[in-house]
Amino acid sequence: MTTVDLTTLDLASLKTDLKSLIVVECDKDIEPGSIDDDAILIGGDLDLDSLDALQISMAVKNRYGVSIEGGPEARRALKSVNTLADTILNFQRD
Amino acid sequence: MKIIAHGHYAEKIEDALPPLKELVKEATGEPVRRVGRFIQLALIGAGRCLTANPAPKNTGVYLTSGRGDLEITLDVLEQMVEHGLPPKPLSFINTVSNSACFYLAKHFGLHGRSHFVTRRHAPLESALQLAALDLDHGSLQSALVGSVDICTMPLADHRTRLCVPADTAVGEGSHWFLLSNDTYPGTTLATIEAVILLPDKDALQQWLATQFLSPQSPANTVLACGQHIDTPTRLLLQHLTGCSAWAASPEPPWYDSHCGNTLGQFLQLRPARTLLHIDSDPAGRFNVLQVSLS
Amino acid sequence: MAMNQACFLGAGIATHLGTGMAAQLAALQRAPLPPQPVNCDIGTIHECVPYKLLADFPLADITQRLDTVIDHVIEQALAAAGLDGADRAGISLFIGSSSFDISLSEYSYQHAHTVRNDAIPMEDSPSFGKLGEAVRQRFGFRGPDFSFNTACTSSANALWYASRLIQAGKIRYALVLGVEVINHITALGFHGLGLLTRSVMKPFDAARDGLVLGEAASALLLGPGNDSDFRLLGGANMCDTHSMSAANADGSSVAAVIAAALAEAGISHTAITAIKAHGTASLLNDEAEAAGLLRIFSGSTLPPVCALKPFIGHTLGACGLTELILFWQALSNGFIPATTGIGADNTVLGISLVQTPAVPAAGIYLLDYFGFGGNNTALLIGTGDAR
Repeated sequence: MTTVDLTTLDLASLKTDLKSLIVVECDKDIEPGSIDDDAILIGGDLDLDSLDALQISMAVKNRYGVSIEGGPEARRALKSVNTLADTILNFQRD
Repeated sequence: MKIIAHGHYAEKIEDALPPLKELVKEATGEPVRRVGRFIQLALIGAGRCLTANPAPKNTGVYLTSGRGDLEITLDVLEQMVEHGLPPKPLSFINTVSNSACFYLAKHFGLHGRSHFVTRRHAPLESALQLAALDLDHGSLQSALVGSVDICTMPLADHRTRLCVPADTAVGEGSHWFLLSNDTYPGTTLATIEAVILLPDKDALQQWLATQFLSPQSPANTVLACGQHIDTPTRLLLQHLTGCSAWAASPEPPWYDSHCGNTLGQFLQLRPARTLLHIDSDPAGRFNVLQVSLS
Repeated sequence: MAMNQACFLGAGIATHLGTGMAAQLAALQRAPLPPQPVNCDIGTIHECVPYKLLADFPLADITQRLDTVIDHVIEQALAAAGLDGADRAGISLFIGSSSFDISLSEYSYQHAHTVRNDAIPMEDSPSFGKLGEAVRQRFGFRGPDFSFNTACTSSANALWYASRLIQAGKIRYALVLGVEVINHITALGFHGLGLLTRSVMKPFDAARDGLVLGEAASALLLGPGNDSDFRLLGGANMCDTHSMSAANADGSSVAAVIAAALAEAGISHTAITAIKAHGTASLLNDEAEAAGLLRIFSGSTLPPVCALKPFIGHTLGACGLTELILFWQALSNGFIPATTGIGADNTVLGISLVQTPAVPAAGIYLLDYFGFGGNNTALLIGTGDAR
């Protein structure tokens, strides 16, 4: 399992990373850069569903070592690339 | 039961697996995400079958395969054992064979029954038997029956899994048939007169005897032997039926549901009025498929 | 037209509750127990997954365990039906499973990987039909065989087709087999979907928080019998394209498949006197199932509803046949299984589960099953003179 070292990752490159992760994991035929930082991920224009949410959560766990628990916490974390990045960075500070 | 339409994909695989995304788009009219080769091939074959003949909403879907979605299953196993990663949610969902049925039903707007059913040496025949029951004895008016078999790389490993010799040509196939019961008022391509399993050689011999007492003489029938028939049995069957042997040409590569390829080519090339397809299994049983052109 | 009968002639069963019918019936009259944690170790993964394992078949020898339990339940079913060896060649085998023998492929790959680096997965010639072929060989069954892989409805669909092929005169005897044993893909896959609970499953309860996986093997011989024998009186299967992993929460697709089963049987919903729910204790599926049942029984009294997964766990492809056998046997022994304290409050989803073992009324009994990929099946059972 490869876990990215979060101490060497700045916010901008983390977000770029996450967009690529979303495109790959959810098999979206779009440019990662076309995802806005605050675009709604699940149920928004990106047309991602609850299975995509689970797929992203597991990929985030494998890549960054950050567990996103189910329920309201997951819904908050997976709202947008911004909230996902915040969740990952805040997890690191805990 | 009648055959109303058919559609196919069949490729011999030599160096690399051809990409399928564009073909899926062509067959279904839209890109489909989160699916691997197995579901892609199912959508391509079924799409080609239904292009000119959209299936009614209550059509039943019967999907079959020898080994199902090997690609995703192998990947999940490798990820666990070699990389210590648990199955990803979307991969896990696609290891379930009837995920493919879900995509078929969704993309072609079907809400009738959906089944994944198989038999070790006769996948397509098993699905056709269930469809025949539903059409002849059930409330169903139409059925979409298809077989899908994929290749995985490297091919040497794939041949090991198929238990075929190292020089065997292997490939991928997706063969689909839109069927209706005998009351269908429109134009049909052919009638499936029999799809049966006979427990042994004696039973086969008895069945053949009853067939050729009918006006349909062996001269109008071609015999196609399935890929599990050995040479002595092939010669015996030719002798018993008196029919001339016929095989799809060029010979299709090896994959489990080879029978769909033969039936598809028969419908396209029309080499005789009737096709008698017989395959055997190691237990000495015979799967028989008899189809006559309309 | 004289109908060929597909009566339930004899059953064999092994679950977390024990092996054989007496063990099941005794346990169904006690409170369901929580699952045990089972270690899932594969590669570098060490995960602890709650499970209800087979009671009498220890995990010691994975390579023999699956065949052993299958042979055991088939022998039980054949013995209960009194079928001697000579009749066995005419039997058709119908298997329903979601995982078939994947546990063996996992084991051999894992083992090969520890001794050589170039091991590849599934060298053992995987095929969905392989398990059925081996069972046929061991028992000498020569009739047409079918292997169903439609997730959680697999063995329910196998039973439905077996019954109808007999009724249509295509076959005389059918042996239906539902089987599901622990494997890493299933255990870790469900774990990854976040669908599992560590407590007792609580279907239709406000506190429901997921399912528990269970192992089971069950066999049922179908064939000609007497009017007083139970049999399938109707069934239906429909594909719900609402979502891959959950039925439409408004209950429409659940109601549609039950209505189709009633239409096939030619009976009214008022003839139903007890219901075995699918009851996976997941938020959405229980909501969909409750709403579907309420749609069917709107304007009339909902008969007693029971759920069996709290006792044996969700046995996936095996649950169709396994829960049918448990329900049929409980009914025949004069009780509808109760889950005291579970699903007691009908203000949550509009339905409640049986709370103290109830005496079943004569009539027809409904069983619901829903699976991944939108595969929904409803079955109706009863004696030949129940109609």
